[in-house]
Amino acid sequence: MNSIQPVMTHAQICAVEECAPGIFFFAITAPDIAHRAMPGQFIMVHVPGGGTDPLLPRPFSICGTEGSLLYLLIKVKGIGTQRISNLQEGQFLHIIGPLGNYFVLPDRNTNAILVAGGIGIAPLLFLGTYLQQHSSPNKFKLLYGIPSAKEASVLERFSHLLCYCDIATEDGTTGFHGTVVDLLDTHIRKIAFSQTKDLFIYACGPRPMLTALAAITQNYHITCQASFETKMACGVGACMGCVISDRNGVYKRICADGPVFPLDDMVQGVGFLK
Amino acid sequence: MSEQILDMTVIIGKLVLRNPVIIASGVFGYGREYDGLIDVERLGAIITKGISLRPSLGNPGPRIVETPSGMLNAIGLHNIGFDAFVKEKLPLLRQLNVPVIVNFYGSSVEEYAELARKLNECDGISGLEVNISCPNIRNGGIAFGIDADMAAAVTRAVRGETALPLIVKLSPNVTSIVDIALSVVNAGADALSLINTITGMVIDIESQTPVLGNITGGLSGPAIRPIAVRMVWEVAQHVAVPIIGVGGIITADDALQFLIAGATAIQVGTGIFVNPKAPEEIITGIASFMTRHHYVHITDIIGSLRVSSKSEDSDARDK
Ligand SMILES: Cc1cc2nc3c(=O)[nH]c(=O)nc-3n(C[C@H](O)[C@H](O)[C@H](O)COP(=O)(O)OP(=O)(O)OC[C@H]3O[C@@H](n4cnc5c(N)ncnc54)[C@H](O)[C@@H]3O)c2cc1C
Ligand SMILES: Cc1cc2nc3c(=O)[nH]c(=O)nc-3n(C[C@H](O)[C@H](O)[C@H](O)COP(=O)(O)O)c2cc1C
Ligand code: FES
Repeated sequence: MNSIQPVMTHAQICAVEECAPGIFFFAITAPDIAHRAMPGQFIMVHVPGGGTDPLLPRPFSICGTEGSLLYLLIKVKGIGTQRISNLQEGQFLHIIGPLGNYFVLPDRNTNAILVAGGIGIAPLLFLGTYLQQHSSPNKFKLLYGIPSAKEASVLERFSHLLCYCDIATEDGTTGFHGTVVDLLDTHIRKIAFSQTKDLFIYACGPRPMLTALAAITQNYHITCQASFETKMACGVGACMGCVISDRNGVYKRICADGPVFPLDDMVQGVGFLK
Repeated sequence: MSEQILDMTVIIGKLVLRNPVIIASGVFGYGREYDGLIDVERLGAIITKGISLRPSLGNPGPRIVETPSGMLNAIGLHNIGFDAFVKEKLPLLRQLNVPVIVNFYGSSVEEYAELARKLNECDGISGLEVNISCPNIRNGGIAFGIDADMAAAVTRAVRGETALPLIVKLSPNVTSIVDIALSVVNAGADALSLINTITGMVIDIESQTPVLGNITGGLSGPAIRPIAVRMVWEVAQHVAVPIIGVGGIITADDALQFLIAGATAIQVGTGIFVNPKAPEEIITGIASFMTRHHYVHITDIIGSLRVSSKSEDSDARDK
């Protein structure tokens, strides 16, 4: 049972913009969801266009809220995201949310580092904004890993976070040349070893990135919470379709027990990279 | 005519349902996961995720993959087991004003019987649905569901342990569904659910590996609807007990095909992923169909299929 019940609603699109090649920013009106959503939570979006192909709704992280507005960042991958990205201002998205658990917030003495790989930036933008507004604003850093400088324009919509953000590009066209995990490593090396225990890492990105990240967090004994992705059917914990194995071989539902889990528990699970 | 004066009541064994719309097993967890999204108290009944005597971990992922107008699942009957079900889930189900049907399976005839006996002693269960058809576990369901004698043996053993309305859910992965249906009814089933999922497979060509962790899975959704309608129609001509139609139902029009083919009630499975309000919209849609066609009792629609003798001839030729 969900402690806070999700709602199903037709949310009108207030703004939609291709903020980087193939990545769309949406602002939609969904007061019942926006007022309650916490960083890390997600919504299910029905693919528009009617018919039964594709059949299942698609999960997307909430990347911010403002009053009645809910923000989404959607990267075109296949048919579903393609159709959603074709929608115009004034049209409606059929959605269910807020769903899933959320990031455990750091206490005031902790230094938080948010590590985003590609579209994994979405829930971390929400978390960053939340930290800026609710806790001691100086104590976090957002590291954003992307293939090249072109995707960096995603951040323009979130200019209030620019001063917290370092970018890593794989082709070196802007910021640090390398992966976001390499960038994190150089970052941690600058910190006195005695202080790494006050660090708390939040992450979202592809599973190979999370595996590389786990090597670092384990090495420095840093606690890390990560948000995980998989294909979903119900999104509410009813079908057992979206599981991930933890280190004890117990299957957890990403949609209802997650999507946020301690990174260590999951990278050691069987079939993590499958 | 308003919805109120239409009679949508249907009877499954001793079980009286206020309407024929039921939520299928496996898509609705233990009945409370959809709280806030579905008003279950409007429905005819709900069916819980298949349980076994002991908890079952289920299959490794990926467990689901989308297919044209459908999906494959290989959950592997992941469930919390009888004890936890009774302790943690049944009290929450009892709070609901809707008949709760419990779906279950075993890995031997004795296990089916033992579970039936234990479920029979619980408060708050309106009926049992025996899964003899799950295609996902090697030593379980499938062996019973594809063999008429085994299917009868399970039914007889369960029947011996319970006076609750007993629904047996059939597998479509057989050559003659009518043969299985007849032997299950002779063994004491009060009703039949059909169909469960159809075994299928999807391959990732880049890695040349199966997409599902279990290699194969069960196909559900609109893709299987014509097969399910056909099987309901075939079986309805041979058995006297109520049939519950399931397979690809999302709208009232889909549901009506099953009723007309001879189903007394229907279940919505995959359809609730697509639209959690589908079961409620189906009730409303059936009511407006009844109004439009001047039906007062839903039972007058059941089995109302008109087949001209000519099309019956062509049906025979197809075979
Ligand atoms: C909790 C959660 C939060 C998410 N948040 C976001 C977000 O904020 N922004 C965003 O752009 N995407 C997000 N995703 C991923 C998004 O759901 C998928 O990209 C989308 O469902 C793909 O749909 P499609 O029809 O375009 O692709 P399909 O045609 O279905 O598939 C295209 C490709 O994407 C892969 N894929 C399909 N579904 C998923 C999935 N659920 N997760 C990962 N890969 C998938 C397929 O294997 C295939 O390679 C999130 C996923 C989860 C589970
Ligand atoms: C994710 C999932 C899990 C299922 N689990 C069960 C189950 O535990 N027991 C059972 O008898 N049927 C189970 N089924 C089968 C459905 O109840 C139903 O018979 C089948 O999916 C066809 O109907 P549909 O097309 O409406 O989904 C499951 C189906 C799905 C999609
Ligand atoms: S998607 Fe159904 S349990 Fe997670």
